[in-house]
Amino acid sequence: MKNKSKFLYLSPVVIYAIVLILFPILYILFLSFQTNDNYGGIIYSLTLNNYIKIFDIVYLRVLFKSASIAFITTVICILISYPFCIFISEKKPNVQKILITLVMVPFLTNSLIRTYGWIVLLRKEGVFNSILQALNICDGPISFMYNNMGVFIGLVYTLLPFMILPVYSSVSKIDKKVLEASEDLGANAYHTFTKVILPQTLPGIFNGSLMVFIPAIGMFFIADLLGGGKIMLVGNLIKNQFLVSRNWPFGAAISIFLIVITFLLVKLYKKTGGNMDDLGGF
Amino acid sequence: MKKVMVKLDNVKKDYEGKKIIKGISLDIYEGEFLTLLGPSGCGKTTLLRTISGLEKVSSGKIYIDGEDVTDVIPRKREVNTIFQNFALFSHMTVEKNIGFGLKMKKVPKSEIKTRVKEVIELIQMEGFEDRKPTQLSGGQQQRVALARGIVNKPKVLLLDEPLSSLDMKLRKQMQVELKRIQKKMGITFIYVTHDQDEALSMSDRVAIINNGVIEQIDTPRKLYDAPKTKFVADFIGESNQFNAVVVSTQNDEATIKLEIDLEIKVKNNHYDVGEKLTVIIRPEQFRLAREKDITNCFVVKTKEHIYSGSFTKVLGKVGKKEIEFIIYNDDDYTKNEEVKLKFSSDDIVILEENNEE
Ligand SMILES: Nc1ncnc2c1ncn2[C@@H]1O[C@H](COP(=O)(O)OP(=O)(O)OP(=O)(O)O)[C@@H](O)[C@H]1O
Ligand SMILES: [Mg+2]
Repeated sequence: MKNKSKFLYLSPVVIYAIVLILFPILYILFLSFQTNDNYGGIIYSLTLNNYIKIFDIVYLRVLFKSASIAFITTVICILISYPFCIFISEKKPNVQKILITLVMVPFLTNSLIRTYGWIVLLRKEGVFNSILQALNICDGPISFMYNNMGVFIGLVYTLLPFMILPVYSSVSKIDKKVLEASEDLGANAYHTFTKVILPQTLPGIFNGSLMVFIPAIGMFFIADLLGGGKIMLVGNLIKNQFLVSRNWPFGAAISIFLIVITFLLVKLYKKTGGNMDDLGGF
Repeated sequence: MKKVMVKLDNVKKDYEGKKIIKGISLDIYEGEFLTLLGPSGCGKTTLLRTISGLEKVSSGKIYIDGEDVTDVIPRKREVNTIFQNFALFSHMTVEKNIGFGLKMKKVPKSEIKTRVKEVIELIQMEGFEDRKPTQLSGGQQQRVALARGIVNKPKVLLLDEPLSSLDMKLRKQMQVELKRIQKKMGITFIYVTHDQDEALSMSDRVAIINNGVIEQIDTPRKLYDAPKTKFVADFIGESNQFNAVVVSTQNDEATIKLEIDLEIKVKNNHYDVGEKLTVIIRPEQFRLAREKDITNCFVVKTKEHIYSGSFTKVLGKVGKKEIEFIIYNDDDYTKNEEVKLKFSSDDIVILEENNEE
């Protein structure tokens, strides 16, 4: 009886997950083993060719470039979030709540629209360049966008909250008494940081890294808008397969490939002693 | 002459203009077990933190082993603290936790290993070396916190209510263990508690703190037998306190009148006629009176009998004043509405101060 009512409460979530997440993924998985005809249609077959094609040097280069950009984005996000979170955690509890809420405010606006906003700021005649030139800081306009820099700015800006939230949650969990104990036992500030603070916040950093790295690989619209279409990331590759080349099976294979890599990363995290609860229950 | 290990010289501490420690001077001897005892909020933790250096004093000086450490940072003081909530490093094993202090002092690895092994034996936790703190019971975490302090062989160990989160049985057991470890290592302990039984049973001396000052510092025995203030008499054990005034003095005897309109004869201690006093009589200092009209005799109306095994606590009234006394099982006593009590004027404590100002 009890189980039945439990199922009733959960059923909207379960139906949502099945219809909108499980079915599409199964369909993508199915597609990835098919062959496409030259007109964007699908020939039903059972083939591994799409997966073999990923390891073609052309695509490997895209994968590698995406991974590097996602990796650097992740590192920049860590470097910004960590001091920021330590700064927040030293404030009074009420101030902390306000600051963390402010971090989440941008979520109220669609990220595509916010990216258009960046164009206004970054382009040659944009706000930043106008100010810089008005102040005579530089002569000509600086190219903030349509290059790697634009992509980094866009990715870091969009994904930073996903790093800040888990890092903040682990930093704010550190007990002040534990830091005092460390000092009392003879550790200087450097050792207290490396031996006590850092290890205790590592799960938060890893969690944030997953939340930043994985979307960073797939955020095609940022590469399109701020990279000027010159920068090809895996996300762009997948989008192009579906919408431009109309090779759905190959696009599906790359998607599955990404999902598998994500799972492997999580597995690796578990192996190294990570706690799944710190990841918000994957 | 015993060596002074910690010396506090008129230490004061304010928080945002509020005076918390109002001038404490105190000598603590080498190897001594000194307890700071007092009601909640009286400043025990604050005083302890000034000794460890985690809190700066507002004025006054602190010396450890003869050296002025008033402006020395915590990690340079040869003092370790056992925190109330243990404050263990949750990401480290028991062994790593205990070895942390030695590692920070750059003690060679092999020596760390042997010394950690020694204290693990001392706290009887062999086999738990590789556990994380969350995999231990409260009492075990407690012992690890203790080991993490004593392994450094500090000159002074500060313990802030280290047993308060344990249940009664474990607490009693840990009290014995703590005392054993302290004796064996010969470390000076400064121990904070607000449990008076704990303070009395473990300490060499107890400092009673109230409102940021030391009311009295003495051996547990002296605190009980000869409290110097009403607060101490009240705080340590049970006591019946009477306001009194000196009626007349003879050579070595004085007659004083208690607030309950009873005149008693006590030893004369250079009293002046009219001087106001406080008379303190412990419940067990009352005896049943048999003889007829003796001096120092209370006539008590009994109200309640509380049986406690080997004795019975009786609550009663003399006039309007509530009093408390104790009847032992082998006393020839039958429950009565009215009972006569006597006491020996040698036992009781008389303070030269009075409530009615
Ligand atoms: N950081 C601080 N800022 C302001 N006031 C403080 C601070 N720390 C302690 N106090 C105040 O100082 C007083 C003494 O506190 P302390 O912690 O020393 O009490 P305690 O004797 O240890 O009490 P307890 O037995 O409850 O632990 C309290 O009134 C407390 O509110
Ligand atoms: Mg306290």
